Amino acid sequence: MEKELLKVSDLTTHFFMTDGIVHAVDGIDLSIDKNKSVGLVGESGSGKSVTALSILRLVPLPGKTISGSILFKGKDLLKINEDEMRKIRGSNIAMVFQDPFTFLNPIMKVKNQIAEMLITHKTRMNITGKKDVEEHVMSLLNQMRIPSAEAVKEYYPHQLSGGMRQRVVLAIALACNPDMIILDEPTTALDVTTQIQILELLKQLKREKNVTIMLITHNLGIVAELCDKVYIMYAGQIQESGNVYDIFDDPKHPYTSGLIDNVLSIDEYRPVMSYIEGNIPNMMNPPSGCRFHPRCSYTKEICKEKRPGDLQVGDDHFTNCWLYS
Amino acid sequence: MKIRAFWNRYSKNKMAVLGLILLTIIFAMALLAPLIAPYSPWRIRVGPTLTPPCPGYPMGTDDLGRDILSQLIWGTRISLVVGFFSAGISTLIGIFIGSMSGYYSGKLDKILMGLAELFLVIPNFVLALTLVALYGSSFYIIILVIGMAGWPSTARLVRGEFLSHRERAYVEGAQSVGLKDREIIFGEILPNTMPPIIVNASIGVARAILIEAGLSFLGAGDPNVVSWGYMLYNAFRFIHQSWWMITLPGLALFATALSLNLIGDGLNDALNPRLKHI
Amino acid sequence: MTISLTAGCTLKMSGIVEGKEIYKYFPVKGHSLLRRTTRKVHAVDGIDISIKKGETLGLVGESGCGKTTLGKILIGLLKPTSGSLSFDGRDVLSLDQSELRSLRKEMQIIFQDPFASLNPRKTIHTILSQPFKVHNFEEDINEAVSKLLEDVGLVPPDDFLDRHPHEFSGGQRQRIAIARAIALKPKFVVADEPVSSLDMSIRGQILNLMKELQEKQKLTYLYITHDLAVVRSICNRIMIMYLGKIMEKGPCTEIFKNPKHPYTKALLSATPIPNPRRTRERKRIILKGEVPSPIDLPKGCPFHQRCPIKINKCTKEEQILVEIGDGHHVACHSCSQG
Repeated sequence: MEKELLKVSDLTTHFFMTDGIVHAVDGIDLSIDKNKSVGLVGESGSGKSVTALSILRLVPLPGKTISGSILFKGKDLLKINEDEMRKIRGSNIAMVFQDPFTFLNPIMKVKNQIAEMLITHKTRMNITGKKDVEEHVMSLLNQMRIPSAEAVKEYYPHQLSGGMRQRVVLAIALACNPDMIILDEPTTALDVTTQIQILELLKQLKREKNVTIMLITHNLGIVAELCDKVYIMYAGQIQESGNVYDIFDDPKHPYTSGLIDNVLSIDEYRPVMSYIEGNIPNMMNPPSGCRFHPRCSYTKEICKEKRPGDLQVGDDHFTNCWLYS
Repeated sequence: MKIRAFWNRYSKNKMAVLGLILLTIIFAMALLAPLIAPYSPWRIRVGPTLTPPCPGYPMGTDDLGRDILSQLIWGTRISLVVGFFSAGISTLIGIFIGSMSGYYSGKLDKILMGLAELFLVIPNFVLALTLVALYGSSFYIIILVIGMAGWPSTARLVRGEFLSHRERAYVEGAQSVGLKDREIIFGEILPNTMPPIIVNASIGVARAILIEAGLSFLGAGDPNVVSWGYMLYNAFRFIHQSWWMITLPGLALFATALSLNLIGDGLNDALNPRLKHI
Repeated sequence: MTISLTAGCTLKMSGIVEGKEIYKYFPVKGHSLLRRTTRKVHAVDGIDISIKKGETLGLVGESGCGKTTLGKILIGLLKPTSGSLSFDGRDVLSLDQSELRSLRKEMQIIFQDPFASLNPRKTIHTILSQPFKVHNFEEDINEAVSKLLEDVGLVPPDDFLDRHPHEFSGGQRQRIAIARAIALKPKFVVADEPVSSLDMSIRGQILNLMKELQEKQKLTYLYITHDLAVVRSICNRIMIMYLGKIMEKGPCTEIFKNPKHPYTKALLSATPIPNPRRTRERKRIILKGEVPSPIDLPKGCPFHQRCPIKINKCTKEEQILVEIGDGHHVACHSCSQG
C-alpha cells in the first residue's frame, strides 16, 4: 500500500499586488505519509498558512499558485477542475483554522453546522435520511469528548467556551472521515490548560481514526508534543525537514538551531537571552538565494546567489544549506 | 506623497471623478458668475416674458422677463454657500456632541443621545420649516436652521466611532502618558475618525442644498436672494406652460446633489481602502 | 523606603508598589429596563501585592483571571472598587487628577499589541515627543527623542522619526512602545504580555532589551503573562492568579522546583516543553472543563470545580494564603492538610 498520502513538489504561490509581488511560497517540497502528523513550523511571513491554502486551492485573490504539483492519492490537485476539488475539500482533506469563533456560523446551531458538512458529502457518507445525520452528529460530538453532547448540540457558537468551539470545529472537520486534516494554529486562541486538552484529543483521534495530520504553527512546544515529522519554513522556503527528535536534538540549519537554541522553556533557566539578529524580510523584495542569509552568522557568498537543494544530513533528515554540501 | 496615494485610490472610481469634475464646474460657475452670466438675475424684462429656450435666451425667461440662465448661474452661489456652511455647522456640532457622548458614556451620553433622538424623530424638513417660521427666513437664519437640523446624524456617527476607538490600546497608551481628556479626544481619537466624518459631511452638503431648495420652494426661503429653490417657487404657477422654468433649476439641483453623492462615495472608498482594491 | 511591622512581628520592607485588599468588580449590564446590578464580574477579588524595588514580579494566569485588570489598577489607569494602593510611600487613590497625572512620570505600561497601542495616524516623532511635552520637559525634546530611539536599538533614529507605526514590524513597534514607556525614566513599568504577539526569533531581542533597560535605569517590572516559559527566565518572584485571587506566590526558582497548588501544577504540566523527549515523557495533569466565567463565582475556593484534590472544605470556605517557607505562599485547604 502506498505510504505517501500527499506529495507537494516545487509549489510556488505569489500574491500580485498593485505595488509589487509578494513571494509568499517559493518552490517548496513536502512529503506526508499516511497516519503521521507533520508540523509545518514558521514565523510570520514564512508562508506556512499560504501553503495550506494552496493545497486546498483556497488561496484568496490576488494570490495565485503559479507552479508546482500537489499529488494527493495519485491525483495532482492543481490540475483537476473545481467540481472535483470541491468533492475533495471537507471529505478527503479538511481544514481547521485558528479562530473557531469566526469560523463557526453564529446563527446556526452546533448540530446543524455539523450536519451541513455531512449533507454536502452525503453520497460519500452514505447518508440516507435525517436519522442517519443525527446519529452521525451525536457520535462525532462524543468522539470529540464534548460533555453533555445532547445539550451542546442545540447550542449556538456564542454559548460555547473557546475549547468547546474548537472541538465543534474539529467535529465538523472530521465529520466525513477525511484522509487528512490541516490545522492552522488550532490552539493559539486557547488557554494553556485548554490547549493541552485539545492536543491530547488530537493524539487520541490520530490513533482512533487513522487520520493524517498537518499542523501549522509557530509554537515549537506543540510541535514537540504532537508531531512525528517537522518542516521548518522561513520566508517562503523550506530550510530543514526531518524526524521531530532529530530536528530538536540536532538541528542543522542555522535558522533552525537559532530557533531551537533560543526558545524559552519552563524547565530551563536562561539568565542571558540569546536571539537571532535582524528582522523577518519584506516578502515583496525578499533576499536573493537563501532568504535567511542576511541574518545568518555562517553566510558565504554563494548563499546570496542560490541554494544547494535538499541535502541529506541524517536518516530522513534534510536541510537546504551550503554548510552541509 | 500621501496626496498622490490618496488620488490613486480615489481616481479608481470613475464615477467619483465625474462627480468631482461636475462639482468643479459648478464651483467655477459660482466664482465666475459676474463674468459669465449674460444678465443680472434681478433685471426684469431683459426679453419677452415666458420665452422658451432660444438663441438669445438659452434657458428662456420667466414671468417677469428675467433670464433663467443668469438666475441659474447666480443661484449656484447660494446653493454652495448654504450647502457648505450648513453642513459645516452640523458637522462641527455633531463632532463636539458625538465625541463627548462616545468618550464619556454614562449619563452624559444618555442625555446627549436623547437630545439627538429628539431632533431625529422630527423630520429634518419639518423641523427646518418650523424654525424658519419661528425665527424668520433670512438667508443666515436658514443656514443656521439647516445646520441645526443636521447635527444628530453626524453626532451618532462620531459617537459610534468614539465608542469603538475609546477601548483601543492607543488611547490607554495616551492616558498612561498623562494626556488630558481634551487632548485625547481631539488630538488622538478624532484624527482617526475623520474618514467617515468627511464622507458624511459631503453627503450632508447635498442634503443641505436640497433642504434649502425645498424651503424656498415652499416660500419659506429668503426672498431677497436668487436661489434655485426660489426659482422653483416662482415657477410653480407656470408649470403647465413653461416647462423650462421648473425643469432647468430642478436639473441643476439634481446635478449638484449627484456630484456631491458621487464624491462622497469616492471619498469613502479612497479613505478606507479595502484589501480587494489591491 | 518605609518599614512596617506586621502582626507576626516580622520586619517587612515595604515595596515600591504596595496594594492591600484590592477588589475590582465590573457590573454586568442587565438587559431589562429595571437596572439590575447584582451580577458582577469579579475581576480582582481581594489581592495583596507588594513589589520590591528593582525586581521583576511575574503575574501569571490564564484568560479572565484578572491579571491585566490588576496591572492597570497598579498604574492608576483603573480605579479599584476598594482597597489601598501606595506607590513609593504615597497613597495613590487619594490623589486628584493633576497629581495622578504627574505621578504618571514614574509608572508606565507596555501593552501586548504594539500595533494597537500606538496611534496609527501619528509619526514616531510625535508619539515619542508626547511624554516630554505633557510633562514639561526642560531640555531639547528632539535630542531626547533621538536618544530614546538609540536606547531601544532603533538606529539610526532618523530612519524612524517621520514614519508611521504601520510601516514597521512587530518587534520594531514594540521597541517604540518601550521607548515611550521609559521616556521619562519611570521607576515602575507594567509589561502586559509584551512578547506574546511577536515572532519567536524576535522575542529574545525584546526580552533582552527589557533586561538591559532594567539594569541601566533601575526599573521595577510587573510582568503579566500566561506563558510560564518566559517567566522562568526573567522573573524573580511570581504570583499565580485564578479568577481574581492569588493561588500561590513565591520566589521563581522555588515555585518551579516545588509547585504546591494544584492549579500551579496543572499549569506547569499543561505547558508544552519545546523538546519532544522531555515533553512527552511527562505525566500530564489534565483538568476537567475550562476556565469558568468570573461572573458567578462558586462558593469557597474558585478552583474547586476543576481541582483534582479537592476536599469538602474547599466548597465551603475561602482559602487564604499561608506561608509554607521562605517567601513561598499557597492558598489551598487540601495542600495545607497533607
